[in-house]
Amino acid sequence: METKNSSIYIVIPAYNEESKIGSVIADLKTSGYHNILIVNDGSKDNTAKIANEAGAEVLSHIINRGQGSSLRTGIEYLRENYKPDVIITFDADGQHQVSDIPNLIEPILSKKADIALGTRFGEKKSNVSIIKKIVLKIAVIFTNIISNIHLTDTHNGLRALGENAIWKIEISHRGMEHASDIIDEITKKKLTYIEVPVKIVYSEYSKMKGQKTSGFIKMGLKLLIKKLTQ
Amino acid sequence: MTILKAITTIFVLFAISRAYLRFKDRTLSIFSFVLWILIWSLALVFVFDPNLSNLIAKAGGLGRGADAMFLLSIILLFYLIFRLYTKIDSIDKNLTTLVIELSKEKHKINHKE
Repeated sequence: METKNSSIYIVIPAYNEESKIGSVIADLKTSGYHNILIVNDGSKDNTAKIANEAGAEVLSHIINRGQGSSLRTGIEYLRENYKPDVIITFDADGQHQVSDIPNLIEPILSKKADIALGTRFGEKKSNVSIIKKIVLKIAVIFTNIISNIHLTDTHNGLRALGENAIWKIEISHRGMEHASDIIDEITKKKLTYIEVPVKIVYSEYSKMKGQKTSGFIKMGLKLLIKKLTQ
Repeated sequence: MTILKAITTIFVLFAISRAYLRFKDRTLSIFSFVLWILIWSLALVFVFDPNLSNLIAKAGGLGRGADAMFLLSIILLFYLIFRLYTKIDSIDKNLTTLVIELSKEKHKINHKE
């Protein structure tokens, strides 16, 4: 992994993404982001091999543990081995746009916030379906109540973590609930945050790979149980 | 002794012997072992003296002994589900930590070679 030019690192959790991971890495590299860490989450296909050949650093889980655990691996590994100023969390299915990264990095580097969270509900219009929009809005209300924070989009995987956030945020859920963990941690650790409008492009592939609408109900239940048993 | 009482006695003795074996293997704590003996002994007491459940029901403001037993069973089941949930959750968290540490360690070894 190159470290000399930049201390901006991209962490991409990947599970069976052999058809997309190569182009996602290529897009990032073309735009000047060379510090790319792929956390291969127990893929059964050639995700790790393709990512390696594309020039990314690859860490592999021996079994699938979920997106939250992959991000934990990536963040822990980077803070133990490099000194990142910024860590970007990015999806492997091609729904995130490389062109949004500078807007996420800017508030971190100018010390306006410890963490920049992407939002699908800003001026940049994402092609979110009506059902998904409703579910996401319910998730926003739910998370805002539970975490006592006011955001427009609580489950967007595109975000930038500054140094403070990199060292303070601890992800405890191994699955998709990690997004709520991060928001919880912002409140608990008194981190400053900013929402940045980003464009999410849903393709047939990303819809197939991404979180199902029904998954939000399961996730809500898990978070409720966690709150009750804490 | 009725057939029901005989079957219950055999089952309770079997359950207690299982708990004892797990306690002997140190897979069950002394607290859990005592708790299981109490639970199964209580079941045995109620089977042999059903009137006792009526006394508990009256003391608890419930009409019948069977209702009291039903309520107690539900409370006990919920408690056991909660314990199982927390145990599974803890095992799941440990497994995740193991997978994460293993991936970092393996990466370190591969890069040294």
